[in-house]
Amino acid sequence: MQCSFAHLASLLRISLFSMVLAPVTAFPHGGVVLEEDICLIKVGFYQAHFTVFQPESRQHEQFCEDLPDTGESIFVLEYLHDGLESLEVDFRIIENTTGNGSFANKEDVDRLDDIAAVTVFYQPPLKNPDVFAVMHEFDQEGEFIGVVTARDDNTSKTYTAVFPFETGFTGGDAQDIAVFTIIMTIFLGWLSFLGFKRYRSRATLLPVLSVMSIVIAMQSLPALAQPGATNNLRGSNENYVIDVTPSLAPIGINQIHSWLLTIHPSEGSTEKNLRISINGGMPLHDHGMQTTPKVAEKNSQNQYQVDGMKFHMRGYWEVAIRIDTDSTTDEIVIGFNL
Amino acid sequence: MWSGFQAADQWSSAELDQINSLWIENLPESPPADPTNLVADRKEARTLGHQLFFDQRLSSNGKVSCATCHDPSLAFTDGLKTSRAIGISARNAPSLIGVSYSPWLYWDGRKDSQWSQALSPLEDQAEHGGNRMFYAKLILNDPDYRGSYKAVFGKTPEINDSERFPDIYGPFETPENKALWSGMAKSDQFTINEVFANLGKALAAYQRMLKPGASRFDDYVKSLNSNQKNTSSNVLTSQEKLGLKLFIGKADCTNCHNGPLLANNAFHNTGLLSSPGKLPDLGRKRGIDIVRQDPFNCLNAFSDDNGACMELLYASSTKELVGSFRTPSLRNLKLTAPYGHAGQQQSLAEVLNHYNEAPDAMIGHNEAKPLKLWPWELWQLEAFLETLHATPKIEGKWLVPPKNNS
Repeated sequence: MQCSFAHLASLLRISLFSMVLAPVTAFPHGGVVLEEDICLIKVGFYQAHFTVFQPESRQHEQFCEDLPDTGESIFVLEYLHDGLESLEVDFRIIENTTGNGSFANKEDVDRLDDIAAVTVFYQPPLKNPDVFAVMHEFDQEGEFIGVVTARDDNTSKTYTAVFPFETGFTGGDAQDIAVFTIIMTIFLGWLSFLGFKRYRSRATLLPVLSVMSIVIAMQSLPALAQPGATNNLRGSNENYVIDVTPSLAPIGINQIHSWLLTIHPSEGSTEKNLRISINGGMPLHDHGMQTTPKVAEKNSQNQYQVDGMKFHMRGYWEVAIRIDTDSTTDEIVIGFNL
Repeated sequence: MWSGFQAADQWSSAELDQINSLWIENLPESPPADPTNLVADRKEARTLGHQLFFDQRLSSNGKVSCATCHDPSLAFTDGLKTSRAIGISARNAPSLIGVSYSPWLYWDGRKDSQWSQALSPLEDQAEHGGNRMFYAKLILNDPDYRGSYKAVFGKTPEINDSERFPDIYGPFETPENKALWSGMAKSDQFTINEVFANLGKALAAYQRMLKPGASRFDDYVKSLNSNQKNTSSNVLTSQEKLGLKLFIGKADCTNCHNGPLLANNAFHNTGLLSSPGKLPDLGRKRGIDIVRQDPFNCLNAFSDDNGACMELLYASSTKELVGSFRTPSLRNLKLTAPYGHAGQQQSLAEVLNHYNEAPDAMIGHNEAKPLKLWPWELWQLEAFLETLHATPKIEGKWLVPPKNNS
């Protein structure tokens, strides 16, 4: 289903290119929309997201119910609930011999006499792996059931999720693409007929190209950060003002350096034991720093040295400085462009 | 008629800053000092490293040298998806030009110095397929090498007592070889490890000289800088200039491909597919675990300065690094295809299409967002990227085997 969107988008692009129109909004690509997340499985109270890839035949297309092809398939289980990380999780693929087809459920699986006999793949328990990804090569079409089991050693409880699926299934999306491709071929053929038979002889391709060049020239310039604004940084809330003096001024990208934090508590504050921690990231890119900065002891002037600061990309960064006392917690965020 | 295109030569001051930041002239003449390798910039070490780099005797079958997969005529790559030596390697051979400017080595950053990196392929069973004992004996028993080794490192240990230093053949990691090794005295192991580390240090001294030369893009920047009026320069075509504008602008390339090497040497997940028959590669998430346990890392006994390990000490190992790989330099792309950590992409057009769509990653998340560029914009970017080609800035004799190599 994702694939047909991608093809639609790229075909649309090609056709629009021929017609010289303004860019269209691309179709959302990739991730399954949460509202209709059929890839969600529930293991007891816990939720996980299941995605299957067949990269050899289907590239980036993602599946979670029926797999269009046989052959190499990669199952990726993503925990959506932190609790799963403390459990041992295993994964089994069995032939669907329950007789209930795509309606097979946990009870059907429990009723099987010898689960080992119908098992085609088994991943022994893993506890909090970096990635829960397994690979199985289906050598023929058929009906299968995926069984995910999570075991809690402390309570001896076991949670199971089952999901029936088929391999070698060719659903509607491939047909959609075929129909769409035929329509587009006819349409593009007609366009090229116009373009190369009629326009060429009258030399009217030139205005079309001129419009193209105007469209290109009109595209707006990028917004670029002003360099040199990071010699000193300051952040504050109602309880603290923090002045930052980086050992690199201005802060350069990709260079490991230190920050000197001078922390001014608001007037009347008697707290002496401040515990400082620091973290940073790029909110627009959804990622953090590639270092874990550490805060050294403070000196006499309420100054704290932070080592291991490094910003590995251009763009907007936020650094969050957390100040804990025995009774309070403050977080002060400083944003800046590199 | 092409008025829209000629506008590409009129750069704003912010754009000029960006363009200058990519200029080769802003690459420091010497790579960052490596205090963990005392011979990093010594002439004798470079000569020894040069000889080692091209010597096929440094392999279990006598047919593989570093240059087998790092061919100087291909910007020190091999033109293959993943390399072929004794066996088939899991990853694509990266270019070595400018690599000494990176704090991390390998696609997954599993090495924290160039000398330590040079050791791994020598013992990898798919690559050189030998072991440290074999190499130490080869070097110290060869009259030429023994002399050069002594000139660089001062001492040549005696390792011919086969009771204490058993002959070991084939890769280091086989069970039999591990058993032979663990039967040795700790101090003798140290002696061999030190010789082995020193070979890496000589190889690094040679590779530190491999720096990119000025490309057509760099000539263009030079012409811009010498031309106060900022008028049109013919060094790049209109198409290439438009590509440059996109590169530093809306295509967001300089987020990661920045600085004169066009690489930030940090780790990013860009959603490349896994290789056939393999699970998705964990990349840096695994690389950081490996480098922390590496007996040849910055903090260990064979490093010449355990106090110069900021990068290793502060490196993060968060799950965010799942599926991330080191940003490669974009210089010499014409010679370094195929692209990606496992050579997943055959052409620049394929790479650009991938970024234009930014599909979901198989594991972790793809940091790139769809660029939504028009086809002709992708062509412009490709045209610009091809202007980054140049011959290395090094005397030709270093790019061929030394004369005394047999």
